[in-house]
Amino acid sequence: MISAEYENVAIEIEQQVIKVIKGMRQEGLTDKESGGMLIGSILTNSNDIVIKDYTFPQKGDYQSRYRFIRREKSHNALLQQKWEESNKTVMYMGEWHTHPEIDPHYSRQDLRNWKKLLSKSKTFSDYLVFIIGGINIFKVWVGSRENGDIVLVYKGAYNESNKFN
Amino acid sequence: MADIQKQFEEFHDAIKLKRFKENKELREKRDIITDKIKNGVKTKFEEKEKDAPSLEFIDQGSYAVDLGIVPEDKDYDIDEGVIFDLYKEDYTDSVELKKMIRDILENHTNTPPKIKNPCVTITYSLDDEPAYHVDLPVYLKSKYDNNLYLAWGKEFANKDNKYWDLADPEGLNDHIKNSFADDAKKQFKRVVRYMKKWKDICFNSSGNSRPPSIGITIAAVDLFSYKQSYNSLSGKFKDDDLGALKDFVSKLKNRFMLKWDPDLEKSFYTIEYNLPVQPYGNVFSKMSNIQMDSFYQKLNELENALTEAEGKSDPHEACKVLSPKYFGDKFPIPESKEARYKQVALSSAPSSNSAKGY
Repeated sequence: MISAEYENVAIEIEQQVIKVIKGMRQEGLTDKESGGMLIGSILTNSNDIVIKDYTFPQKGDYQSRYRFIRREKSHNALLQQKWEESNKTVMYMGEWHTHPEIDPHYSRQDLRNWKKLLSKSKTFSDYLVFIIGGINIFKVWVGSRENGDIVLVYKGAYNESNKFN
Repeated sequence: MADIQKQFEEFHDAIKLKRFKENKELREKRDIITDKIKNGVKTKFEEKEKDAPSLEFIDQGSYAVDLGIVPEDKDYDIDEGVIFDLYKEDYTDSVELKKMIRDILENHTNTPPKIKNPCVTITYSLDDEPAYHVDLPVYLKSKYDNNLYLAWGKEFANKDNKYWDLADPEGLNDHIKNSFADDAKKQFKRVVRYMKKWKDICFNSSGNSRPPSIGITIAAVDLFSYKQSYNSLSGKFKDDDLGALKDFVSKLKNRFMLKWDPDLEKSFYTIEYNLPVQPYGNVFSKMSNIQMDSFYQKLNELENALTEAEGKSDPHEACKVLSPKYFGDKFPIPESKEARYKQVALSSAPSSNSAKGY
């Protein structure tokens, strides 16, 4: 589990989420970009965020070496199913995707996309979480739906013990 | 609808009593007693210069049929039948052989053995508290048929209260053991144990206000049916103990009949369930009309609670209905989803378009 903080809100990302991103990272020269939704809950007593679920590329999504397009319908349907199964406690919490670089950086297109998601998504959460999974490093940004600010909150290796290798 | 099968199975693991096979201590206690009886009977008969009869022992009760639960407020109980290869026609006093067994085991325990109507009881104590007792019903044969006869009566009872009563302990064991097979048998055993625990929790232990375990067991052999639920997401069936228990409780409730009691000038719900083997008597006959009626009301409450639990969407809420009120605190309550996480409206996001580059 990874913990980060943003404006007095603690954000926890459960291990299975990192694990799926690690599994889809672009290690090979021809591996394509992957991505999906981040799904999570807000704790009743503290407003803290837990990211504990995700979607991954579905039929109809576009995947190439440098681009990933996630379609709306299939992923929202998955989100709805997970919401029902969770007794209506999970919601859209952001987006993840992979990059074919050791230490990932967001592109201008990524930033435009994140701003769009912050303004156009319909979710209870005031914040969205964005993860880019590089080959060795993954990074976590938090965006405010109120003012559109996006801040890097975490940078780490997939396996903490390999961090300095 | 909440899925609390996991909680039911955890509860079952917590209350299940191990069988002789798995419980060395109780098995050894049983074997010490049966050896003492064998040797003692031989000595007693030789003292009278008579041929000692051969003896057989039969495991009875919940141990024999693997339906025991860990006792809540009483000691463990082992039932071990003693069958003499003798004829009842040669023993007009049905208590004579029970006295012999009592005498043989006189100094075996600190608490002296006691002759009760259906058996001789040996009580083992631990720190002055009864830890468990062994009930020894005594049986004889007859010259005229192949039945067994139970020695009924207390030591100083008058003639009318001492007699040989037809019995079929092996037939009863077989009736219960052979009633179901495989997964249905496993669920049958769990449901009987849930009912026994409920009985310990919800009824006063004094007198006959608690329905007898054998009554519950016989009714379950007759009324239980195996229930599974279908999970449309995984496409699999799995055991549904809540459904099976509720089904049994409703069927048992429906076996009660309203009966007018002319002495109390009131109607009571009463139940009759006959033993499937000799002597075919009503297994609930020791309960009074008032006790049977309270049994009915408690079944009704349990049925309502099970229905309420079934209707809850959160397992936490479902288990809270049942535990500890109906099944005691061994029934686990999982952490609440609702209490931990906020419930929110359905969310959605537009498509996402990411690209590495500039």
